[in-house]
Amino acid sequence: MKDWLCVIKLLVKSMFKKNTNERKGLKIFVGFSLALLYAVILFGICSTIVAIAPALIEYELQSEALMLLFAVGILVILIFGTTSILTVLYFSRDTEFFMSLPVSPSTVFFAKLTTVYLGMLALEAAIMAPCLITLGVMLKMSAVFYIVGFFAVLTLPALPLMLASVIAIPLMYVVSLFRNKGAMTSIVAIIMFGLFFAGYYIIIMNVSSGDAGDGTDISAIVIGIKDSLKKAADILLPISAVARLATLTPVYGLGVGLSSLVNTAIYIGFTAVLFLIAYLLSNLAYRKGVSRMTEGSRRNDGKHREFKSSGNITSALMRTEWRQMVRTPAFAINCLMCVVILPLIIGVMNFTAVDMSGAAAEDAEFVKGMYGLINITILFMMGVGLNYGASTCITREGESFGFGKSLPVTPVQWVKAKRIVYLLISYAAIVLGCIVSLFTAQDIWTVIVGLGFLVPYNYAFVNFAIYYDLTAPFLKWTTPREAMKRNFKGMVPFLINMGMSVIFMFVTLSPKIAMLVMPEYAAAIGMLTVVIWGVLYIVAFILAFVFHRKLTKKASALYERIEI
Amino acid sequence: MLKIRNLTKVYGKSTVKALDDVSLELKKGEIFGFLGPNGAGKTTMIKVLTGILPYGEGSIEICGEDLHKNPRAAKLNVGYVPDSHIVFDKLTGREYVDFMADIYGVSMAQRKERAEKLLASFSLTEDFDRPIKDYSHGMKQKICIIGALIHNPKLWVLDEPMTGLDPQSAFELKELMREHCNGGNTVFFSTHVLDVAEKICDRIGIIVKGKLVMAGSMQEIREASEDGSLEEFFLSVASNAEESVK
Repeated sequence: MKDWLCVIKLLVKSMFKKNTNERKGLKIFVGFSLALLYAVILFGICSTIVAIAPALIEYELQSEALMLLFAVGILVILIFGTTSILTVLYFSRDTEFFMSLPVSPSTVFFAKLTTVYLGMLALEAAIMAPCLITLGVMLKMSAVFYIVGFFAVLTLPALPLMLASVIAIPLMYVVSLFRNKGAMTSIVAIIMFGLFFAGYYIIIMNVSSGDAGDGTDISAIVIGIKDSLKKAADILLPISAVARLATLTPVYGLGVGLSSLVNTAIYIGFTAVLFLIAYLLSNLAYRKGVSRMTEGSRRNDGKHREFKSSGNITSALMRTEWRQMVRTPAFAINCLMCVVILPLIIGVMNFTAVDMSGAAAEDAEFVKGMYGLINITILFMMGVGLNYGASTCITREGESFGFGKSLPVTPVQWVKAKRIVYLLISYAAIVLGCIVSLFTAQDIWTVIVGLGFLVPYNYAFVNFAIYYDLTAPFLKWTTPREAMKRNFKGMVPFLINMGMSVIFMFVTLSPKIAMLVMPEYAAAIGMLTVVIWGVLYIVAFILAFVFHRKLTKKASALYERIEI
Repeated sequence: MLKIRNLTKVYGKSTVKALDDVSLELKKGEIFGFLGPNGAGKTTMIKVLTGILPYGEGSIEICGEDLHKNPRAAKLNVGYVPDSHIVFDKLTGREYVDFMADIYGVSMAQRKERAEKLLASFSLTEDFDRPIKDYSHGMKQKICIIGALIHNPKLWVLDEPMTGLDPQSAFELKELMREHCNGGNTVFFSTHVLDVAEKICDRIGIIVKGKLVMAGSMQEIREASEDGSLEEFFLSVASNAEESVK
């Protein structure tokens, strides 16, 4: 216990220490943007709760609503926590250090798990607590709801994290068999991301398979939703148990008292079993798993390998940039996330869209167009903006930047290679997203017009992101995680793009809505739509030209200015 | 103090033995220098005996505690200075040393006394409360040494300790090693610097391709060498061993 506390203290201190190198103005900008984003998300969720609360009371869906809220929290933890678990448990630079100390591997395992849990708890609580209070107030719940609800907020992050840590152990064994472990780990981690989303998709499909009629009969829709939620509750048993406990919902034909006991037993039992599995596995396998990763690939594998020429300097630089990125799991996950997640999000969103087969032709056309535009907005926001590779490409050089300066390579060549790599990645994400959108939303014209806009805009963004990083890169990082996740500056292009995508959504969706509200002005609104897209194209091309020129012209001066 | 018997280490599914049937015994109060060409197995040996890497065959006993059967008890007797510096460089020097003292159960009075003495000898007192990331290479090495010595370990293991140290600090370190041994403890360190090994070691071991080809006192080495120097002896032993492995 004492060792566990010591290790936690050390890890927490190390993890949450302020970075004194960050500029104050930048911190304020990023902090303000994040607070704004948080407020918007929270407002969206809470206002939805307020709007649907009367229906939830009328159709007795209190426990199901709470269950869905918890499920969203767990999903957030799975998305953000899994990579942290992999990085912190198995790919941390401190592994050797801890192995040399008189502390048992399972103590280190649980101390690391606890630090990830604390980080995730802060994230989850920030979203869940206000929503929980809103739900409780709107549904007029008793004190039990708040007590159990906050207990659940405290304990729920542990479930997905323990699950992820248990899954990670066999995964590490598989990864350790490969020659190039870094690249293999990146691939496995990205596949895991995909699998989590696929799991989410399966649950959503299961939930939305309730019969909602033709989409016009409200009572049929509600019965369908209720049926779906019941199905979801069976799948997410421990979460539904704690939700039923909080709302004092009777189960299995028992009274409220006995039901509460049963629900408590299910939740605590499930958590205890998972903890036990994690504990046993950590004792049995964590030490070996870590050792196998620590050993690395020390000797040549005996295969005869030839030298390979890249042909020219740009190709050589591009190849090295790609290898450096893909062989460092923390880099690869963040830089390639958009390619995996974006098509999945678009696919899941379109598959679970409202079925308009029974609606009038013009209504169906309107919804199809709306989905098409929302797809393009998501491509704008995530396909372009989630390109962390570009916004951290200089920062990720770290202390090896100094060595790079000693090479006979001009800054323009160097920047050009980086630009091509990150353009390829973001274009891959955008094109894949468009293909999925074409097959699922089937709004060909919106996708084609949107793609035409995104091609020059993405070019502008990549140039801007590299330029912005080049102005003052954060090179004095010690862990890859620090270079990516704790690098405020890397978030600035993402936040700017997010603001741009909101403007884009407003500008492009407005004519659609206007068309629905004022069909008598269809011709004028049609003209307006053409003008809006025309202006967007012109702006995108101008931005692409400006930032290409700016980056090319300033690269040398900015490059020379950087000292390490 | 340290007993290594028939130790063999193989990485993963490799057929090459990184350590091949190594047996070695270190006594109280001696400084043992571990020499070998690049890739010979020096760091592997150090990582195995500090418990970082598992081993296949053989046994390691530290102060009578088997490293495999009772790792915690064995490790409590070891202080380790790695070749790469500490990873928790967001912490201040004091926070890092405090952590090490907590883990090894060092009382407040002892940690204060030992830290102050070590800080003074390394001229690090004024920088003790600065974040480690702001330290120079040599300062990081020094704080690492202080962290490793805070519990006055019976066995002090150092991997290439002289790298990055200024002449004054290198001298201080050598003095510290001798002083540590005079207190009845043992020092085991790897190095490439033959002069250092020659000057401060009581005994020397040479490892080539995972095999401990020689372990003996400086006197034995001088007698075995044609010109009485460690350099000549090392080069001849290393090349003979390379030939025989081929």
